Amino acid sequence: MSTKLKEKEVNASPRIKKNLKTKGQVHPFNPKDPSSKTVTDKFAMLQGRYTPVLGEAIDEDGEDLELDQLEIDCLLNNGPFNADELPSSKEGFKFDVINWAKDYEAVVKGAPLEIFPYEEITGRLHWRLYTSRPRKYKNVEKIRKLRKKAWEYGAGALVWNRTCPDLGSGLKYGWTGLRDKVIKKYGEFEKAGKKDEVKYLKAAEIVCNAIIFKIGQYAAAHKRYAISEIDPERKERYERISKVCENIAKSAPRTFHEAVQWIHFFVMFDKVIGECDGPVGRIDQLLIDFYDKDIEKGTVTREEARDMLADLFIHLDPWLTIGGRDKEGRDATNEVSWLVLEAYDSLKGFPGNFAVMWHEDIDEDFYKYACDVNYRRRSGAPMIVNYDIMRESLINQGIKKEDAWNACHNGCGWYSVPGKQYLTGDWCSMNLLISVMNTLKKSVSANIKDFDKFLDLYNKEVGTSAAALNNLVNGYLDEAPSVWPEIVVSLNMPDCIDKGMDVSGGGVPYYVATVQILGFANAVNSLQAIKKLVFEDKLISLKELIEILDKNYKGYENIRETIINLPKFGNDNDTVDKLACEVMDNLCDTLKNQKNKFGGSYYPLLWSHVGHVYIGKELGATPDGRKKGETIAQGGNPSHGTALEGITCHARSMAKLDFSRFDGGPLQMELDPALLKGDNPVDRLAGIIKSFFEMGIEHVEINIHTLEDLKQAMKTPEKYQNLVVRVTGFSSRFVALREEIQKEIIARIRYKS
Amino acid sequence: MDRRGLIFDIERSSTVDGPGIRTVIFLKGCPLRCVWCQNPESQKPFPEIRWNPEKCIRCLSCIEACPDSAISFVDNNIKTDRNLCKGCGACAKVCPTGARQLSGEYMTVDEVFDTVKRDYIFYLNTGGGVTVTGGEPTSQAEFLIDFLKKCRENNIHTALDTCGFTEWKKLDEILKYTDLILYDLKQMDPEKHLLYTGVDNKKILENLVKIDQKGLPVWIRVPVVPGYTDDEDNFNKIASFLKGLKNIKRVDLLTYHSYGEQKYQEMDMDYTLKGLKPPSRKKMKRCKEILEMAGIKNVFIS
Ligand code: SF4
Ligand code: SF4
Repeated sequence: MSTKLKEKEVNASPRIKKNLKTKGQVHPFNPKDPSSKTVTDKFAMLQGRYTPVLGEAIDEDGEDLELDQLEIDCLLNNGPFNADELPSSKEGFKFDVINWAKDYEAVVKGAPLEIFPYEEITGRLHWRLYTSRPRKYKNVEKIRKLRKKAWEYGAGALVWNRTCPDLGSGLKYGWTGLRDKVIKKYGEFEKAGKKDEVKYLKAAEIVCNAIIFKIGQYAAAHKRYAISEIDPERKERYERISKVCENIAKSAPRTFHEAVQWIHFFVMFDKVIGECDGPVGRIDQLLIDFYDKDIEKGTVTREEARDMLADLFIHLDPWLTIGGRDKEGRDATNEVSWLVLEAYDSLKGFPGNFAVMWHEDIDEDFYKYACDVNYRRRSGAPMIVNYDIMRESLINQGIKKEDAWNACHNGCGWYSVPGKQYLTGDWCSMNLLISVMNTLKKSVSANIKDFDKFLDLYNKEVGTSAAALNNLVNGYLDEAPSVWPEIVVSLNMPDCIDKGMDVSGGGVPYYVATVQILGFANAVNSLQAIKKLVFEDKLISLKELIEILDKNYKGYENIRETIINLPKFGNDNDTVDKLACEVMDNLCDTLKNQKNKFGGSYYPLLWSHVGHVYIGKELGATPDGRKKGETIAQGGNPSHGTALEGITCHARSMAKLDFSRFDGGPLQMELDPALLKGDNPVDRLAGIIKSFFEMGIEHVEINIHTLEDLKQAMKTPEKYQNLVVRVTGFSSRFVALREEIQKEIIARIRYKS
Repeated sequence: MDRRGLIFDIERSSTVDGPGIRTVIFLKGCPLRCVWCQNPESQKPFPEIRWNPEKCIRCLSCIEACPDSAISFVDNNIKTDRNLCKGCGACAKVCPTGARQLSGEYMTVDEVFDTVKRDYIFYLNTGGGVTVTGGEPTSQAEFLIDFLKKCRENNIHTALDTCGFTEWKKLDEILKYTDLILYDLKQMDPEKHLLYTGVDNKKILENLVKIDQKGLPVWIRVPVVPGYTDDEDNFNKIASFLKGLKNIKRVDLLTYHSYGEQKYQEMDMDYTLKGLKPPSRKKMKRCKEILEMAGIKNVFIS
């Protein structure tokens, strides 16, 4: 096995090497100029500003401040779209999908083409709708109030879809086919006198036409490039790409090349709306038939196919998923799954975001290869997730079995059924630590005498938080379809076209929404400390505890030492872990009771982007011994510095939680390479991760770096330009991260031996 | 099974004491007194109390709790009269910060096994298991045998980390339930061995030969302590001795460090190697080279 894996190392072909150089170049981080910090950094700021606490992210005119600041794409920028040129600026802004679609059309049609000499898959646009069209709300006052209320209870939201389309339908019909469907449907709705549906589908038609127009532009441009190109290899490539674009501008994709290009265009056109979208879904299932057919005909070679997939990674960093099971429950790993992994492998540690869905019956070699890529490339990719738990969890949320088999990871920490589910996980959050603090304040006047009563009060507080969150989400959902429809995704959700409704407006069958949970371990440890110190040992009263926290433990170092010595979540301690389970069970029940306007309930996602770092800065001292300003725990992981018993205990504590009731929760594993030292590091890594999954963990994120390397990279970033780390649900170059986040990563529990 | 063993630590997720992910059980009590010992709490066959001045908040709860009045407060320090202390652990129980800790707890096989079984999945998937070490585990032979049997019954791989200084008959019985032996070789010169560890090495070397004849897999562990075990002469002798054996699967050279010094203080014991620096990287490589040149395979520095 091991020798086979060694041979498996895939190196980039000459074309991909050149494409990486000309197109995938990473923006050099200049330590003297912090503004050169990149992608995840700005994203991080954004997240820190509103996801964890929310409420302040709306300005006087009721616009989302952060969305204006979200200039994510740093690789190359050819100037922003002049907002004065938007139809909505010239003809007047309206809360209306046609008004929106015309703006989309203007941005797409106007955006300069970007073409690179060594790419086989083409297309890049840098103009963004969200930086040009204002994101206003009809009912600003109401939204602001709802936000404020939620904020008080540690909840926050911004409805911004993070769902996975069913690109199978797009690949089947093509843009023209989708447009035909749209036209046919609005004809029917016209007859039935359904005005809203007609209007929505007419907007969809505008979007389709803009996309088809742009693809046509790409075809024409490549033809021109081909004419003036002298190098025969490039000339041929331009011609080939021109044909591919021409075909998919007028029909559904027919070849592997066309299908990959089609997918790429989908991501590109979707990103024009909102940078954060663009999950592709189970790409190995989407592409296998195209691949098999072309291989049989001899029109594509295995290497060519692999390189096209490598182009996808270099281009737009889409969310991809591979592996898992098929409808009949068999291992779904196929040749394209291998090609995706090999393509990523060939990019030698390029930051990438994709998931391998493990299950008991997965092709063992394939799984080991996924671990091997992680081990060799050290870029935290692919992330490895547990398909069976995902499927089970979806079923537990009321999703039908015949849909749930298609479970697909489609973001940093969450998953859904492609084409049928609306998700809010990236933008809804609850901070349990704030609920604990609110409870503490209320408990004094409520004259609480025992811990059970305290816990009841806490659970009630969480309930209030969840209700405030739901009200806010509903407030947004009332506005979303007219404020910010997501038509490119909706076009790839068959039900949306059939119903003439946007994905944000009731178009899909499932609206079970997810909520990021922050401060979980801190909340559990705080409750445990209160239980022991206040109610069992009667060392201090609730009132005294509040005073001590107000003083940031100053003058009460003994109390803090005593708290630090208490058992903490993450050490396989059955007492604390039991409390942790109670906290999560209650949260799940609470969220299940909330119903949004489409009848969907909520479920937790034990993950946070980087909000835990930023919210930590704003939070005072907490009863778990955490001092003011310190970071809070990341997702469902133990708090920093509290898991002292090793990786198996970290995992066992987490595995006691019932992940089949959540929408995910990555176990963040920081490994010192020394832990894997031995005859076969990959086997050991594979064994450890498999153990996690057999215990019931849903998702594993892997960093394999020494502490020294990370510290050095902070000191001399110029020498560590290519060090890539897994931050939470995503990979990023370490030097491009903000200092706070770098420090948080360094402060994580690192397992050595 | 009511027999109790005296355990001073259980370490989970270990990857340095045998193959795969392992749980390491530390049995207290050892017939040797190596001057470089990094686990002073492992030596004596009874529970002992430790006190960490940095964690102590001087609440004096321990003084009140001690039934034998063994603790006093002198010069802002907690002093333990070790003649009076019976190692009952009452003080450690009330200590709020963990500054006071009892090393050594009498546990039944089932109690120890309750922790061991928790990581069963990891053993299975990484080729790991249990390692019993010490102190010197064979000094609690009956408990050890019961425990190893229990692991066997439950299909858990067992490794025994031993200094080899024990009666062959006892060792032979223990080996029936052992899958892998981690065997310490320290100093080949009998006089030096006696001087540094308190015992002669004859029995140790004889036992290793006997184990080898039984065909059990053995990993040799050599602590490399500057001035005590790191001389070329010692390594030449180790090399030629090991060459005569058939079942040595691996040799680990353990770099000396002084992480245990703090524990000596906590137990009011003197640390004789104060100030001794770890061997250089070069030195470690040289030791490895000597063994490898003699044809010994799989030599690792750790
Ligand atoms: S272990 Fe027992 S006897 Fe010894 S100091 Fe503590 S309380 Fe006193
Ligand atoms: S009980 Fe612990 S913290 Fe208090 S004085 Fe004794 S050793 Fe120090």
